[in-house]
Amino acid sequence: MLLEVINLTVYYGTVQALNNISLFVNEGEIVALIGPNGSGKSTALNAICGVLRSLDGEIKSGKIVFMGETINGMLPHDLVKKGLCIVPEGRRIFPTMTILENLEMGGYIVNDKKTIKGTMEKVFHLFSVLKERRKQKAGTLSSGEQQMLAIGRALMLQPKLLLLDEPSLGLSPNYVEVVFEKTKEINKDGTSILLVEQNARMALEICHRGYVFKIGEIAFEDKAKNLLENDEVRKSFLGEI
Amino acid sequence: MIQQLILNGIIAGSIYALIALGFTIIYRTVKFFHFAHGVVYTAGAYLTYSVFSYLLSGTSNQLSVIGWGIAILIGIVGAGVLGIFIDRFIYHPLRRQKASNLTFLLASFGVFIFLQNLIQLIYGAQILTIRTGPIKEGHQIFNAVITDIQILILFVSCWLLVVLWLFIQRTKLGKAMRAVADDPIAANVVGINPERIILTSFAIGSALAGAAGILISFETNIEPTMGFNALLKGIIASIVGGIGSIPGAMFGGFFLGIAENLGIWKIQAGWKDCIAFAILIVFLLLRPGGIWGVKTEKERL
Ligand SMILES: Nc1ncnc2c1ncn2[C@@H]1O[C@H](COP(=O)(O)OP(=O)(O)OP(=O)(O)O)[C@@H](O)[C@H]1O
Ligand SMILES: [Mg+2]
Repeated sequence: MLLEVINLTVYYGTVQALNNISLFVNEGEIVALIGPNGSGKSTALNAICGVLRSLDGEIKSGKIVFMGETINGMLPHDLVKKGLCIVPEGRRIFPTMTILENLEMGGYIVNDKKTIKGTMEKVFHLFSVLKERRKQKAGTLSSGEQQMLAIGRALMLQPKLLLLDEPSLGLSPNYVEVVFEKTKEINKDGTSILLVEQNARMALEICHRGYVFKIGEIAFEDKAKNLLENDEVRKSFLGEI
Repeated sequence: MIQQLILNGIIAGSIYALIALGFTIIYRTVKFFHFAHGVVYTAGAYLTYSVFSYLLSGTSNQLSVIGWGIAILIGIVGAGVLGIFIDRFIYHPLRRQKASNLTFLLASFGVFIFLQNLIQLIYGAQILTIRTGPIKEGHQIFNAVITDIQILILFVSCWLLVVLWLFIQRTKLGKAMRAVADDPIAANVVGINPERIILTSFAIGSALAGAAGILISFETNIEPTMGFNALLKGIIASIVGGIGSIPGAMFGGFFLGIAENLGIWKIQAGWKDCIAFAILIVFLLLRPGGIWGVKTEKERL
Protein backbone atom coordinates (compact mmCIF):
# COMPACT_ATOMS: atom_id res chain seq x y z
CA MET A 1 0.00 0.00 0.00
CA LEU A 2 1.38 3.36 -1.03
CA LEU A 3 -0.79 5.61 1.10
CA GLU A 4 -3.01 4.77 4.02
CA VAL A 5 -5.15 7.23 5.96
CA ILE A 6 -6.47 5.78 9.18
CA ASN A 7 -9.31 7.27 11.24
CA LEU A 8 -8.44 10.84 10.37
CA THR A 9 -10.26 13.67 12.15
CA VAL A 10 -9.54 17.27 11.17
CA TYR A 11 -10.68 20.58 12.64
CA TYR A 12 -10.41 24.19 11.50
CA GLY A 13 -10.46 25.93 14.86
CA THR A 14 -13.62 24.62 16.46
CA VAL A 15 -15.19 23.54 13.17
CA GLN A 16 -14.90 19.89 12.32
CA ALA A 17 -14.14 19.21 8.66
CA LEU A 18 -13.35 15.48 8.68
CA ASN A 19 -14.73 12.89 11.01
CA ASN A 20 -12.80 9.67 11.36
CA ILE A 21 -12.20 8.93 7.69
CA SER A 22 -10.06 6.07 6.38
CA LEU A 23 -8.86 5.51 2.84
CA PHE A 24 -5.94 4.04 0.96
CA VAL A 25 -4.18 4.16 -2.39
CA ASN A 26 -2.35 1.18 -3.85
CA GLU A 27 0.70 1.48 -6.03
CA GLY A 28 -0.34 2.19 -9.63
CA GLU A 29 -3.92 3.18 -8.84
CA ILE A 30 -6.02 6.20 -9.64
CA VAL A 31 -8.38 6.74 -6.73
CA ALA A 32 -11.14 9.34 -6.92
CA LEU A 33 -12.72 11.28 -4.07
CA ILE A 34 -16.13 12.61 -5.01
CA GLY A 35 -18.83 14.35 -3.03
CA PRO A 36 -20.69 17.63 -2.71
CA ASN A 37 -19.11 21.04 -2.00
CA GLY A 38 -17.77 21.44 1.48
CA SER A 39 -17.76 17.71 2.23
CA GLY A 40 -14.06 17.73 3.09
CA LYS A 41 -12.36 16.40 -0.03
CA SER A 42 -9.78 19.18 -0.24
CA THR A 43 -9.25 18.98 3.49
CA ALA A 44 -8.32 15.32 3.09
CA LEU A 45 -5.77 16.10 0.37
CA ASN A 46 -4.35 19.06 2.27
CA ALA A 47 -3.95 16.96 5.40
CA ILE A 48 -2.06 14.33 3.43
CA CYS A 49 0.36 16.73 1.71
CA GLY A 50 1.00 18.85 4.81
CA VAL A 51 -0.57 22.12 3.62
CA LEU A 52 -3.29 21.89 6.26
CA ARG A 53 -1.30 23.78 8.85
CA SER A 54 -0.86 26.78 6.58
CA LEU A 55 -4.66 26.87 6.27
CA ASP A 56 -5.09 26.90 10.05
CA GLY A 57 -6.37 23.34 10.10
CA GLU A 58 -5.30 20.68 12.57
CA ILE A 59 -5.26 16.91 12.62
CA LYS A 60 -7.00 16.04 15.90
CA SER A 61 -6.59 12.29 15.65
CA GLY A 62 -5.71 9.55 13.22
CA LYS A 63 -2.71 8.59 11.19
CA ILE A 64 -1.39 9.11 7.68
CA VAL A 65 1.07 6.52 6.45
CA PHE A 66 3.03 6.98 3.22
CA MET A 67 5.26 4.13 2.05
CA GLY A 68 5.28 2.64 5.52
CA GLU A 69 6.19 5.88 7.29
CA THR A 70 3.85 7.95 9.44
CA ILE A 71 3.84 11.43 7.95
CA ASN A 72 1.39 13.27 10.26
CA GLY A 73 2.55 16.80 10.91
CA MET A 74 5.29 16.77 8.29
CA LEU A 75 5.45 19.89 6.15
CA PRO A 76 5.02 20.04 2.36
CA HIS A 77 8.66 20.87 1.62
CA ASP A 78 9.73 17.68 3.40
CA LEU A 79 7.00 15.51 1.92
CA VAL A 80 7.88 16.35 -1.68
CA LYS A 81 11.29 14.83 -1.04
CA LYS A 82 9.52 11.55 -0.31
CA GLY A 83 7.64 11.69 -3.60
CA LEU A 84 4.31 13.02 -2.38
CA CYS A 85 3.09 16.09 -4.14
CA ILE A 86 -0.10 18.06 -4.76
CA VAL A 87 -1.61 20.14 -7.54
CA PRO A 88 -3.66 22.43 -5.35
CA GLU A 89 -7.22 23.57 -5.89
CA GLY A 90 -7.26 26.69 -8.06
CA ARG A 91 -3.98 25.74 -9.79
CA ARG A 92 -1.80 28.21 -7.91
CA ILE A 93 0.83 28.71 -10.57
CA PHE A 94 3.33 31.54 -10.06
CA PRO A 95 1.65 34.25 -12.14
CA THR A 96 4.53 36.72 -12.48
CA MET A 97 6.99 34.03 -13.51
CA THR A 98 7.39 32.48 -16.95
CA ILE A 99 6.30 28.93 -17.76
CA LEU A 100 9.93 27.90 -17.80
CA GLU A 101 10.54 29.43 -14.38
CA ASN A 102 7.41 27.77 -13.01
CA LEU A 103 8.71 24.41 -14.16
CA GLU A 104 12.16 25.17 -12.77
CA MET A 105 10.55 25.87 -9.41
CA GLY A 106 8.74 22.55 -9.74
CA GLY A 107 12.18 20.97 -9.79
CA TYR A 108 13.43 23.12 -6.91
CA ILE A 109 14.53 20.19 -4.74
CA VAL A 110 16.20 18.40 -7.64
CA ASN A 111 19.85 19.34 -7.75
CA ASP A 112 21.00 17.52 -10.86
CA LYS A 113 20.62 19.81 -13.88
CA LYS A 114 20.48 16.88 -16.30
CA THR A 115 17.60 15.27 -14.42
CA ILE A 116 15.72 18.57 -14.43
CA LYS A 117 16.22 18.95 -18.17
CA GLY A 118 15.16 15.38 -18.83
CA THR A 119 12.00 15.71 -16.75
CA MET A 120 11.19 19.01 -18.39
CA GLU A 121 11.41 17.37 -21.80
CA LYS A 122 8.92 14.77 -20.63
CA VAL A 123 6.59 17.47 -19.36
CA PHE A 124 6.89 19.34 -22.67
CA HIS A 125 6.15 16.09 -24.46
CA LEU A 126 3.02 15.61 -22.41
CA PHE A 127 1.88 19.24 -22.70
CA SER A 128 3.23 20.70 -25.92
CA VAL A 129 1.47 24.05 -25.30
CA LEU A 130 3.89 24.66 -22.47
CA LYS A 131 6.90 24.29 -24.72
CA GLU A 132 5.55 26.71 -27.31
CA ARG A 133 4.91 29.34 -24.68
CA ARG A 134 7.74 28.72 -22.29
CA LYS A 135 8.86 32.36 -22.22
CA GLN A 136 5.34 33.63 -21.50
CA LYS A 137 4.28 34.85 -18.03
CA ALA A 138 2.12 32.16 -16.45
CA GLY A 139 -0.46 34.71 -15.31
CA THR A 140 -1.32 35.48 -18.92
CA LEU A 141 -2.23 31.87 -19.78
CA SER A 142 -5.81 30.64 -20.11
CA SER A 143 -7.22 28.59 -17.22
CA GLY A 144 -6.75 25.40 -19.22
CA GLU A 145 -3.13 26.18 -19.97
CA GLN A 146 -2.56 27.16 -16.35
CA GLN A 147 -3.90 23.79 -15.27
CA MET A 148 -1.50 22.03 -17.65
CA LEU A 149 1.29 24.10 -16.14
CA ALA A 150 0.22 23.29 -12.58
CA ILE A 151 0.26 19.58 -13.36
CA GLY A 152 3.51 19.89 -15.28
CA ARG A 153 5.10 21.74 -12.38
CA ALA A 154 4.15 18.95 -9.99
CA LEU A 155 5.49 16.31 -12.39
CA MET A 156 8.89 18.02 -12.28
CA LEU A 157 9.29 16.35 -8.90
CA GLN A 158 8.66 12.92 -10.44
CA PRO A 159 6.28 12.07 -7.63
CA LYS A 160 5.29 8.57 -6.59
CA LEU A 161 1.87 9.80 -5.54
CA LEU A 162 0.23 12.80 -7.15
CA LEU A 163 -2.69 14.51 -5.43
CA LEU A 164 -4.94 16.38 -7.85
CA ASP A 165 -7.52 18.76 -6.40
CA GLU A 166 -10.31 19.51 -8.90
CA PRO A 167 -8.09 19.79 -11.98
CA SER A 168 -11.07 20.29 -14.31
CA LEU A 169 -12.66 23.12 -12.32
CA GLY A 170 -13.48 26.16 -14.44
CA LEU A 171 -12.06 24.74 -17.67
CA SER A 172 -13.67 24.73 -21.08
CA PRO A 173 -15.10 21.32 -22.13
CA ASN A 174 -12.16 20.74 -24.45
CA TYR A 175 -9.66 21.17 -21.68
CA VAL A 176 -11.70 19.03 -19.30
CA GLU A 177 -11.26 16.19 -21.79
CA VAL A 178 -7.55 16.89 -22.05
CA VAL A 179 -7.10 16.95 -18.26
CA PHE A 180 -8.70 13.54 -17.84
CA GLU A 181 -6.75 12.07 -20.76
CA LYS A 182 -3.48 13.36 -19.40
CA THR A 183 -4.31 12.17 -15.90
CA LYS A 184 -4.73 8.68 -17.31
CA GLU A 185 -1.50 8.98 -19.25
CA ILE A 186 0.45 10.12 -16.19
CA ASN A 187 -0.92 7.15 -14.29
CA LYS A 188 0.08 4.77 -17.11
CA ASP A 189 3.62 6.12 -16.79
CA GLY A 190 3.69 4.79 -13.25
CA THR A 191 2.50 7.64 -11.02
CA SER A 192 -0.26 6.76 -8.56
CA ILE A 193 -2.96 9.38 -8.34
CA LEU A 194 -5.46 10.53 -5.74
CA LEU A 195 -7.99 12.66 -7.58
CA VAL A 196 -10.64 14.99 -6.16
CA GLU A 197 -13.32 15.84 -8.70
CA GLN A 198 -16.66 17.57 -9.07
CA ASN A 199 -17.00 15.95 -12.44
CA ALA A 200 -17.89 12.59 -10.90
CA ARG A 201 -18.71 10.74 -14.09
CA MET A 202 -15.45 11.47 -15.84
CA ALA A 203 -13.49 10.84 -12.67
CA LEU A 204 -15.12 7.45 -12.14
CA GLU A 205 -14.54 6.56 -15.77
CA ILE A 206 -10.78 6.86 -15.49
CA CYS A 207 -10.19 5.71 -11.90
CA HIS A 208 -9.88 2.28 -10.35
CA ARG A 209 -11.69 2.96 -7.09
CA GLY A 210 -13.64 5.80 -5.56
CA TYR A 211 -14.71 7.19 -2.19
CA VAL A 212 -17.90 9.17 -1.81
CA PHE A 213 -17.71 11.96 0.78
CA LYS A 214 -20.67 13.30 2.69
CA ILE A 215 -20.31 16.13 5.19
CA GLY A 216 -16.93 15.16 6.56
CA GLU A 217 -17.40 11.43 6.37
CA ILE A 218 -16.98 8.74 3.77
CA ALA A 219 -20.48 7.53 2.87
CA PHE A 220 -19.25 4.62 0.82
CA GLU A 221 -16.40 3.28 -1.23
CA ASP A 222 -16.18 0.82 -4.08
CA LYS A 223 -14.66 -0.08 -7.39
CA ALA A 224 -15.28 2.70 -9.91
CA LYS A 225 -17.40 0.40 -12.08
CA ASN A 226 -19.72 -0.38 -9.19
CA LEU A 227 -20.01 3.26 -8.17
CA LEU A 228 -21.04 4.20 -11.71
CA GLU A 229 -23.89 1.73 -11.38
CA ASN A 230 -24.79 2.61 -7.82
CA ASP A 231 -28.27 4.14 -7.61
CA GLU A 232 -27.45 6.75 -5.01
CA VAL A 233 -24.30 7.85 -6.81
CA ARG A 234 -26.22 8.09 -10.07
CA LYS A 235 -28.91 10.16 -8.43
CA SER A 236 -26.70 12.51 -6.43
CA PHE A 237 -23.61 12.90 -8.57
CA LEU A 238 -24.26 11.78 -12.11
CA GLY A 239 -27.50 13.66 -12.60
CA GLU A 240 -29.47 10.58 -13.54
CA ILE A 241 -32.86 9.10 -12.55
CA MET B 1 21.42 74.96 -11.70
CA ILE B 2 18.93 72.44 -12.99
CA GLN B 3 21.73 70.03 -13.95
CA GLN B 4 23.06 70.21 -10.40
CA LEU B 5 19.61 69.57 -8.95
CA ILE B 6 19.08 66.55 -11.19
CA LEU B 7 22.48 65.19 -10.25
CA ASN B 8 21.77 65.71 -6.54
CA GLY B 9 18.43 64.01 -7.12
CA ILE B 10 20.05 60.99 -8.74
CA ILE B 11 22.49 60.63 -5.86
CA ALA B 12 19.77 60.95 -3.21
CA GLY B 13 17.60 58.69 -5.36
CA SER B 14 20.23 55.96 -5.46
CA ILE B 15 20.18 55.87 -1.66
CA TYR B 16 16.37 55.84 -1.59
CA ALA B 17 16.38 53.07 -4.18
CA LEU B 18 18.62 50.91 -2.00
CA ILE B 19 16.40 51.42 1.05
CA ALA B 20 13.24 50.86 -0.96
CA LEU B 21 14.62 47.73 -2.62
CA GLY B 22 15.57 46.21 0.73
CA PHE B 23 12.20 47.14 2.19
CA THR B 24 10.40 45.65 -0.82
CA ILE B 25 12.37 42.40 -0.80
CA ILE B 26 11.32 41.87 2.81
CA TYR B 27 7.73 43.07 2.26
CA ARG B 28 7.26 40.61 -0.60
CA THR B 29 7.91 37.58 1.59
CA VAL B 30 6.37 38.63 4.90
CA LYS B 31 3.62 40.94 3.57
CA PHE B 32 3.81 43.50 6.36
CA PHE B 33 5.70 46.80 6.69
CA HIS B 34 8.99 46.08 8.41
CA PHE B 35 9.49 49.50 10.02
CA ALA B 36 12.62 48.39 11.86
CA HIS B 37 14.25 48.51 8.43
CA GLY B 38 15.00 52.17 9.23
CA VAL B 39 17.10 51.36 12.27
CA VAL B 40 19.04 48.71 10.36
CA TYR B 41 20.08 51.54 8.04
CA THR B 42 21.27 53.52 11.08
CA ALA B 43 23.08 50.51 12.49
CA GLY B 44 24.97 50.00 9.22
CA ALA B 45 26.21 53.60 9.35
CA TYR B 46 27.28 53.35 12.99
CA LEU B 47 29.03 50.04 12.48
CA THR B 48 31.07 51.47 9.64
CA TYR B 49 31.75 54.57 11.74
CA SER B 50 33.17 52.33 14.48
CA VAL B 51 35.38 50.43 12.05
CA PHE B 52 36.61 53.69 10.54
CA SER B 53 37.39 55.11 13.98
CA TYR B 54 39.14 51.93 15.02
CA LEU B 55 41.29 51.74 11.90
CA LEU B 56 42.13 55.43 12.11
CA SER B 57 42.80 55.56 15.84
CA GLY B 58 46.23 56.88 16.70
CA THR B 59 47.03 57.97 13.16
CA SER B 60 46.28 61.09 11.27
CA ASN B 61 46.45 59.26 7.97
CA GLN B 62 43.69 58.60 5.57
CA LEU B 63 42.28 55.12 5.21
CA SER B 64 43.64 52.96 2.43
CA VAL B 65 41.34 51.43 -0.16
CA ILE B 66 41.49 48.16 1.77
CA GLY B 67 40.48 50.00 4.93
CA TRP B 68 37.48 51.48 3.16
CA GLY B 69 36.57 48.07 1.80
CA ILE B 70 36.76 46.44 5.22
CA ALA B 71 34.69 49.19 6.86
CA ILE B 72 31.99 49.01 4.21
CA LEU B 73 31.92 45.22 4.19
CA ILE B 74 31.65 44.92 7.97
CA GLY B 75 28.84 47.50 7.99
CA ILE B 76 26.89 45.68 5.28
CA VAL B 77 27.35 42.20 6.72
CA GLY B 78 26.54 43.50 10.20
CA ALA B 79 23.30 45.02 8.96
CA GLY B 80 22.37 41.73 7.27
CA VAL B 81 23.04 39.81 10.46
CA LEU B 82 20.98 42.33 12.44
CA GLY B 83 18.08 41.72 10.03
CA ILE B 84 18.37 37.97 10.54
CA PHE B 85 18.35 38.46 14.31
CA ILE B 86 15.26 40.67 14.20
CA ASP B 87 13.42 38.02 12.22
CA ARG B 88 14.59 35.06 14.30
CA PHE B 89 13.95 36.59 17.72
CA ILE B 90 10.94 38.83 17.10
CA TYR B 91 9.02 37.97 13.94
CA HIS B 92 9.60 34.22 13.87
CA PRO B 93 7.99 33.59 17.28
CA LEU B 94 5.09 35.84 16.22
CA ARG B 95 4.65 33.86 13.00
CA ARG B 96 4.46 30.66 14.99
CA GLN B 97 1.66 32.17 17.03
CA LYS B 98 -0.08 33.25 13.82
CA ALA B 99 -0.04 36.85 15.04
CA SER B 100 -2.07 39.46 13.18
CA ASN B 101 -0.50 42.04 10.87
CA LEU B 102 -1.15 44.73 13.48
CA THR B 103 0.95 42.81 15.98
CA PHE B 104 3.79 42.62 13.46
CA LEU B 105 3.60 46.36 12.84
CA LEU B 106 3.67 47.17 16.55
CA ALA B 107 6.53 44.75 17.15
CA SER B 108 8.37 46.31 14.24
CA PHE B 109 7.95 49.79 15.72
CA GLY B 110 9.08 48.46 19.08
CA VAL B 111 12.26 47.04 17.59
CA PHE B 112 12.88 50.32 15.79
CA ILE B 113 12.61 52.39 18.97
CA PHE B 114 14.53 49.92 21.11
CA LEU B 115 17.47 49.68 18.73
CA GLN B 116 17.53 53.42 18.08
CA ASN B 117 17.76 54.06 21.80
CA LEU B 118 20.41 51.40 22.13
CA ILE B 119 22.50 53.15 19.49
CA GLN B 120 21.98 56.45 21.31
CA LEU B 121 23.08 54.84 24.57
CA ILE B 122 26.27 53.50 23.02
CA TYR B 123 27.29 56.41 20.82
CA GLY B 124 25.46 59.35 22.38
CA ALA B 125 22.79 61.53 20.81
CA GLN B 126 25.19 63.99 19.18
CA ILE B 127 26.10 64.18 15.52
CA LEU B 128 29.12 62.13 14.46
CA THR B 129 31.23 62.43 11.34
CA ILE B 130 33.20 59.78 9.54
CA ARG B 131 36.67 61.10 8.75
CA THR B 132 36.76 60.35 5.04
CA GLY B 133 39.63 62.71 4.44
CA PRO B 134 40.00 66.33 3.38
CA ILE B 135 37.21 67.82 1.34
CA LYS B 136 38.33 67.94 -2.25
CA GLU B 137 36.99 70.05 -5.03
CA GLY B 138 34.48 68.22 -7.17
CA HIS B 139 34.62 67.32 -10.83
CA GLN B 140 32.72 69.23 -13.45
CA ILE B 141 30.29 67.25 -15.58
CA PHE B 142 27.41 68.65 -17.65
CA ASN B 143 27.60 71.98 -15.80
CA ALA B 144 27.24 70.22 -12.45
CA VAL B 145 29.75 69.42 -9.72
CA ILE B 146 30.22 65.90 -8.38
CA THR B 147 32.65 64.93 -5.61
CA ASP B 148 34.69 61.72 -5.33
CA ILE B 149 32.48 60.57 -2.49
CA GLN B 150 29.37 61.13 -4.58
CA ILE B 151 30.88 59.14 -7.42
CA LEU B 152 31.55 56.34 -4.94
CA ILE B 153 27.95 56.49 -3.71
CA LEU B 154 26.54 56.34 -7.23
CA PHE B 155 28.89 53.60 -8.31
CA VAL B 156 28.35 51.34 -5.30
CA SER B 157 24.59 51.80 -5.16
CA CYS B 158 24.05 51.24 -8.88
CA TRP B 159 26.33 48.23 -8.76
CA LEU B 160 24.30 46.80 -5.87
CA LEU B 161 21.02 47.45 -7.68
CA VAL B 162 22.24 45.65 -10.81
CA VAL B 163 23.68 42.72 -8.85
CA LEU B 164 20.46 42.35 -6.88
CA TRP B 165 18.38 42.50 -10.01
CA LEU B 166 20.44 39.77 -11.66
CA PHE B 167 20.36 37.69 -8.49
CA ILE B 168 16.57 37.82 -8.29
CA GLN B 169 16.04 37.24 -12.01
CA ARG B 170 18.64 34.60 -12.70
CA THR B 171 19.59 32.52 -9.68
CA LYS B 172 17.62 29.62 -8.25
CA LEU B 173 17.41 31.27 -4.84
CA GLY B 174 16.27 34.54 -6.43
CA LYS B 175 13.56 32.71 -8.35
CA ALA B 176 12.46 30.94 -5.19
CA MET B 177 12.14 34.38 -3.57
CA ARG B 178 9.87 35.44 -6.41
CA ALA B 179 7.88 32.23 -6.11
CA VAL B 180 7.25 32.83 -2.40
CA ALA B 181 6.25 36.43 -3.18
CA ASP B 182 3.76 35.16 -5.79
CA ASP B 183 2.19 32.40 -3.70
CA PRO B 184 3.75 31.09 -0.48
CA ILE B 185 1.60 27.97 -0.34
CA ALA B 186 2.34 27.02 -3.93
CA ALA B 187 6.02 27.63 -3.23
CA ASN B 188 5.79 25.38 -0.21
CA VAL B 189 4.24 22.49 -2.14
CA VAL B 190 6.99 22.50 -4.75
CA GLY B 191 9.49 22.02 -1.95
CA ILE B 192 10.59 25.55 -1.07
CA ASN B 193 10.96 26.03 2.68
CA PRO B 194 9.30 29.41 3.27
CA GLU B 195 11.21 30.06 6.50
CA ARG B 196 14.50 29.81 4.65
CA ILE B 197 13.32 32.28 2.04
CA ILE B 198 12.12 34.69 4.71
CA LEU B 199 15.49 34.55 6.41
CA THR B 200 17.30 35.11 3.11
CA SER B 201 15.07 38.09 2.38
CA PHE B 202 15.82 39.65 5.75
CA ALA B 203 19.55 39.10 5.28
CA ILE B 204 19.62 40.63 1.80
CA GLY B 205 17.08 43.39 2.45
CA SER B 206 18.85 44.46 5.63
CA ALA B 207 22.26 44.38 3.99
CA LEU B 208 20.89 46.80 1.41
CA ALA B 209 19.58 49.11 4.14
CA GLY B 210 22.99 48.93 5.81
CA ALA B 211 24.70 49.76 2.53
CA ALA B 212 22.47 52.80 2.10
CA GLY B 213 23.23 54.02 5.64
CA ILE B 214 26.95 53.53 5.13
CA LEU B 215 27.03 55.37 1.82
CA ILE B 216 25.10 58.32 3.20
CA SER B 217 27.43 58.50 6.20
CA PHE B 218 30.32 59.33 3.88
CA GLU B 219 28.38 62.31 2.59
CA THR B 220 26.68 63.73 5.70
CA ASN B 221 26.82 63.48 9.46
CA ILE B 222 25.21 60.57 11.26
CA GLU B 223 22.91 60.62 14.28
CA PRO B 224 20.86 57.94 16.03
CA THR B 225 17.55 59.23 14.64
CA MET B 226 18.69 59.27 11.02
CA GLY B 227 16.79 56.06 10.25
CA PHE B 228 13.33 57.52 10.60
CA ASN B 229 13.45 59.89 7.67
CA ALA B 230 15.25 57.28 5.59
CA LEU B 231 12.52 54.75 6.37
CA LEU B 232 9.79 57.17 5.34
CA LYS B 233 11.53 57.92 2.07
CA GLY B 234 12.08 54.22 1.43
CA ILE B 235 8.41 53.45 2.05
CA ILE B 236 7.23 56.37 -0.09
CA ALA B 237 9.56 55.29 -2.90
CA SER B 238 8.22 51.71 -2.64
CA ILE B 239 4.61 52.85 -2.82
CA VAL B 240 5.23 55.35 -5.59
CA GLY B 241 7.08 52.67 -7.55
CA GLY B 242 4.35 50.11 -6.90
CA ILE B 243 4.35 48.28 -3.59
CA GLY B 244 5.98 44.86 -3.80
CA SER B 245 7.51 45.51 -7.21
CA ILE B 246 11.29 45.22 -7.42
CA PRO B 247 11.84 47.41 -10.48
CA GLY B 248 9.18 49.70 -8.98
CA ALA B 249 11.21 50.16 -5.79
CA MET B 250 14.36 51.02 -7.71
CA PHE B 251 12.56 53.35 -10.06
CA GLY B 252 10.52 54.91 -7.24
CA GLY B 253 13.72 55.71 -5.35
CA PHE B 254 15.24 57.65 -8.23
CA PHE B 255 11.92 59.28 -9.05
CA LEU B 256 11.52 60.50 -5.48
CA GLY B 257 15.09 61.75 -5.22
CA ILE B 258 14.89 63.70 -8.46
CA ALA B 259 11.40 65.05 -7.76
CA GLU B 260 12.42 66.27 -4.29
CA ASN B 261 15.48 68.04 -5.59
CA LEU B 262 13.73 69.56 -8.57
CA GLY B 263 11.01 70.71 -6.21
CA ILE B 264 13.40 72.89 -4.21
CA TRP B 265 14.36 74.67 -7.39
CA LYS B 266 11.37 76.94 -6.93
CA ILE B 267 10.47 76.28 -3.30
CA GLN B 268 12.59 76.65 -0.17
CA ALA B 269 14.77 73.66 0.75
CA GLY B 270 12.89 73.20 4.02
CA TRP B 271 9.92 71.93 2.04
CA LYS B 272 11.79 68.89 0.73
CA ASP B 273 10.05 66.39 2.99
CA CYS B 274 6.69 67.96 2.19
CA ILE B 275 7.31 67.34 -1.48
CA ALA B 276 7.86 63.64 -0.78
CA PHE B 277 4.57 63.40 1.08
CA ALA B 278 2.74 65.42 -1.55
CA ILE B 279 3.97 62.96 -4.17
CA LEU B 280 2.83 60.07 -1.97
CA ILE B 281 -0.65 61.49 -1.59
CA VAL B 282 -0.97 62.26 -5.29
CA PHE B 283 -0.02 58.67 -6.12
CA LEU B 284 -2.29 57.15 -3.49
CA LEU B 285 -5.22 59.12 -4.89
CA LEU B 286 -4.55 58.93 -8.61
CA ARG B 287 -2.41 55.88 -9.17
CA PRO B 288 -2.44 53.57 -6.12
CA GLY B 289 -0.68 50.84 -8.10
CA GLY B 290 2.36 53.08 -8.43
CA ILE B 291 4.48 53.79 -11.47
CA TRP B 292 4.86 50.09 -12.12
CA GLY B 293 1.12 49.62 -11.95
CA VAL B 294 1.03 46.84 -9.41
CA LYS B 295 -2.46 45.44 -9.05
CA THR B 296 -3.89 46.18 -5.65
CA GLU B 297 -5.31 43.30 -3.59
CA LYS B 298 -8.86 44.11 -4.65
CA GLU B 299 -8.13 43.99 -8.35
CA ARG B 300 -6.32 40.70 -7.96
CA LEU B 301 -9.40 38.88 -6.70
N1 LIG C 1 -9.26 27.31 5.92
C1 LIG C 1 -10.44 26.95 6.43
N2 LIG C 1 -10.88 27.49 7.60
C2 LIG C 1 -12.06 27.14 8.13
N3 LIG C 1 -12.91 26.24 7.60
C3 LIG C 1 -12.55 25.66 6.43
C4 LIG C 1 -11.30 25.99 5.79
N4 LIG C 1 -11.22 25.26 4.67
C5 LIG C 1 -12.34 24.53 4.60
N5 LIG C 1 -13.15 24.75 5.65
C6 LIG C 1 -14.44 24.10 5.93
O1 LIG C 1 -14.23 22.70 5.99
C7 LIG C 1 -15.25 22.01 5.31
C8 LIG C 1 -14.67 21.14 4.21
O2 LIG C 1 -14.10 21.97 3.22
P1 LIG C 1 -13.29 21.41 1.98
O3 LIG C 1 -12.72 22.58 1.27
O4 LIG C 1 -12.37 20.36 2.41
O5 LIG C 1 -14.46 20.78 1.10
P2 LIG C 1 -14.44 20.25 -0.40
O6 LIG C 1 -15.10 18.94 -0.36
O7 LIG C 1 -13.09 20.33 -0.97
O8 LIG C 1 -15.39 21.29 -1.11
P3 LIG C 1 -15.31 21.92 -2.58
O9 LIG C 1 -15.91 20.94 -3.50
O10 LIG C 1 -16.10 23.18 -2.47
O11 LIG C 1 -13.87 22.20 -2.89
C9 LIG C 1 -16.20 23.07 4.79
O12 LIG C 1 -17.27 23.15 5.67
C10 LIG C 1 -15.41 24.33 4.81
O13 LIG C 1 -16.22 25.44 5.05
MG1 LIG D 1 -12.18 21.44 -2.49
